[in-house]
Amino acid sequence: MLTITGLKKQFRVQGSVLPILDVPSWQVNQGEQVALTGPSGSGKSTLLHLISGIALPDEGCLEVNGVELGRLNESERDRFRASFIGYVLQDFHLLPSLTARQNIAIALNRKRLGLASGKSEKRFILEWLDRVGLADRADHLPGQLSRGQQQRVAIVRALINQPPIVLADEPTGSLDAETAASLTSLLLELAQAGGQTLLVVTHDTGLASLFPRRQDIREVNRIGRPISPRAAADYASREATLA
Amino acid sequence: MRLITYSLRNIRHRLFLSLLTVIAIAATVAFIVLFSLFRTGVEHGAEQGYGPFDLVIGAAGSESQLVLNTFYHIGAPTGNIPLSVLDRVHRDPGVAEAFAFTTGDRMSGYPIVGIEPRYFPTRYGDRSLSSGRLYAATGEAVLGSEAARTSGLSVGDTFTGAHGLVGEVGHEEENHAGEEHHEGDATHEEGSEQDTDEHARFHYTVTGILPPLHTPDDRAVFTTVDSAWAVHGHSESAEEKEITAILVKPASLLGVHTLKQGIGSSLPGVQAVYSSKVVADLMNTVDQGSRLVGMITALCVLLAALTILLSLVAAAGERTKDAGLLRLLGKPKSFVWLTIMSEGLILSFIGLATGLLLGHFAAWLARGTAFARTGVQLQPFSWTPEQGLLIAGTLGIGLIASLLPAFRLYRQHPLALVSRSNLLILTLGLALPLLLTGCGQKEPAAAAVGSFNQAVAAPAERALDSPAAVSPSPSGTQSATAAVSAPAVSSEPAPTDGGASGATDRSPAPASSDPAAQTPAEPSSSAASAVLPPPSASASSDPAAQEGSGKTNPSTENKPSASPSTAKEPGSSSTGTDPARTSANPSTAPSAPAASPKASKKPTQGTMAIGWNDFFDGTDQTRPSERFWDLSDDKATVTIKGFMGEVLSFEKHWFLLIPAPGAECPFDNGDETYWNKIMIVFVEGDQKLRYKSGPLEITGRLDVGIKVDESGYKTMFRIYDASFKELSGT
Repeated sequence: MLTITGLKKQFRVQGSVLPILDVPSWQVNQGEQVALTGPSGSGKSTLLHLISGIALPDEGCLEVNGVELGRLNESERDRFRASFIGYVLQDFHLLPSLTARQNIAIALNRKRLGLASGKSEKRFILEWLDRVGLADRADHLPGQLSRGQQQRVAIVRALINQPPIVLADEPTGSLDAETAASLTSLLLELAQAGGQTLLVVTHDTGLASLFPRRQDIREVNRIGRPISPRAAADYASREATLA
Repeated sequence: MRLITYSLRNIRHRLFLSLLTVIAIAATVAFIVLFSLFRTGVEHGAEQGYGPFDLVIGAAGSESQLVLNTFYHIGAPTGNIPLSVLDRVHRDPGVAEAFAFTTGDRMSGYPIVGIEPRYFPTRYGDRSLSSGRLYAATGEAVLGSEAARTSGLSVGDTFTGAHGLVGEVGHEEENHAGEEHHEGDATHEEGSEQDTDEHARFHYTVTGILPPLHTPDDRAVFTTVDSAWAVHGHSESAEEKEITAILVKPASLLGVHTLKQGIGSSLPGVQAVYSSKVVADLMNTVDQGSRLVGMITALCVLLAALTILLSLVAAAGERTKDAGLLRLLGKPKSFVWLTIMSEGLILSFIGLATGLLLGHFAAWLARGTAFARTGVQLQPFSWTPEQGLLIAGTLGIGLIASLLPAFRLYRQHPLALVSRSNLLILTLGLALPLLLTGCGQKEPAAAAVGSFNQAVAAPAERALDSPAAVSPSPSGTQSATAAVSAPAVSSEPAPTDGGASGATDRSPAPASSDPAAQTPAEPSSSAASAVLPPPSASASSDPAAQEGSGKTNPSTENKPSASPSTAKEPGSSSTGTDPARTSANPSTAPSAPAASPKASKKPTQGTMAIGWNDFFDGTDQTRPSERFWDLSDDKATVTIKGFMGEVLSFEKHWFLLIPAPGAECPFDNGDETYWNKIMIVFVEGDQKLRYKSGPLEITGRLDVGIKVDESGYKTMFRIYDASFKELSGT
């Protein structure tokens, strides 16, 4: 279960303070599948960053399955992400030097999954790849896969450790409509099978309609004015530099 | 997935850049290994090149040419000298062994050296031949191991020589009645038709193959001295015969000094040269070259380090987002920066291993050419201390070069995944490495194999064919010289008087105390002891004139000497008594041990500075000063300033310390009744000994008293475990 109380996030651009998020209260139950919609710059991605622990709120409380993120230090947040969060990115971002199987293996937590050996790990990954129709592509490098196939690998990578929450930031934003629909269905299906909470940021109202729950960020974020995409990019760069 | 797997995948993924990095490291490492092996080969060859022959006599000309030709078989001889010079050398009491040496002809590019077979046990001790026996009669020859290997000749084969020092050329092989016959030089450029006929008519027969001696003698052919005359049809009398050089093993330092002076001043066209001085000059030249190569090496190391750095900077630039992703997946910071560190170390290790293999393999490939052209024996698979440093240095540089890019990734935040930058760094990182990587024996049956000593112990009549053996032995001294050669042949250090080898003799004139127990290495002392005056005689010579004069000592009659009746028996010096003082004052001798004041003396602490005026008490130069005895007994560390003498031994790690530059003081006046201010300094084995002409400061453990020390010479003042440093100015 995800619980947000009094969450505030702002950042400074060229001396001026720019508030991004002000969420008095928001909750997502375990196993819920939520499409988070809203215009660019309305704080959707920032909310995912805060939930995953890669950014910290300025105020408020963010609790994931009983873990309050604000109390964790950096290495504890690393461990939190490894155990609690699956993350799917818009541009998939598979490691180019690793095969499809190895891209999944690098995220896999053998101990958490109770896999005793390298062989069982390999078998486990191949089963997952088979579920997404990529069993025959296990030893292919990302450059040898189509974009849709790459995203399927990225989805498996996010789900392989069976984390309680899966976050996806525009996971089909760079795919054609048909592939996007198919991958969204796959994501929903896999998350449902695993009983995982799914929180997907999307602009596509059509895709959003596939989700049992749709949430417009403007309904929960009191900062009604959307910020520009450029400001959002500046914010991300600045956060990365400051970190 | 393990870190190492990920790093290896990354290396494989950027194969071209990884290869360039590995090649840059490997080329640098291989170059350093090859250079290190070559320099070790040169040093090893130079150190062992002249054996016990501290003096070489030959025709006037270049000193280095004479030494290089005689001991290293490189280049042409300086000319010939009359055989009569050898007779004079043999008569000299300061000479323990002397060998006539002829050269000039070649067999398949290898010099044919005429020398008495006794040379081998004198220089190498008693060793077994690989096969056969040493030569004994005219026309018989033994081959150095390398000469035998490359020529393919074996015992019983015959060959002919060729005149002149033309380069290595192919040789024709003919079979004569089942024997293999080699014609040394079918296409020599010099020499008349007559010469060719003479050489072709004279056939050498191989009687033995020498074992690998790891000296230039491995690439030479040895025969009797008279073979050279026989080849060229010389039938003139002994007076008209000529030899190329004479190798002299001195009996004492005075002997070698006196002989050198005498030859230089009385025989026109003949020179006597200290082998060590020429080799020392050669080593200094090698060192200068090494310094230059060292600078180039440092530059290559720097470029290799830059290649690693830039390659990894490029990798870090490429992987900014990868690092962000790894953090997003929950990988700790350490995993992220270790991916780059391990990649740098893996590349360094692969480059290092490849470079070590390449360097040694290149040395293996080049060993034949290097040996044939320069006489340098490369030991391709030997381990040098530099290689240990090289391994540590390469991995260290790899580690340091990885730090910067690793730190870059360490600072990478997961949010970098959503930031869009780093394009410039990526481009720069990719381009710079590309720009910079431009630098980028079968064991013979024992019964069939002769040894050096067996060969020289063979009937003398056979050896009489050689001029060295024919040379007259006109005096008793000469006989003594011949008699004392045996211990030297066995390559054992000559024992001290009374058999107390290594025990310090505090007697002022121990050599005279027991003529029957004379050290065999000191043939002149028995004769000298008969005329020794008593020790109480006051010295009439001026010791100041000795110091740094570089001149020969005053004659025996002018100096104090010891009476045999008062001299302390050498054996008693090891009983723990204090014979030095007793021997200095015979009247107190019997009670001295019990009354020794040393029992209450405070041991010397720290390093003591000593000077050239501290060597003796007053004008008595028959024994060391009381202060030196005390310092010696305390095994005190001392420092002294002085200059390096021209006689030194790279092999045994010693040199002479003299008070004034250029002085060539012998240790004593020849009968050991009067000693000079000269110190023999033994440096530690791991310290590189180099000839220095400037002032030096020596630090080491003082040891005094007369004894035959590790150098084989009888000395009074020694410094052991010494280190030395050059002093600026004077």
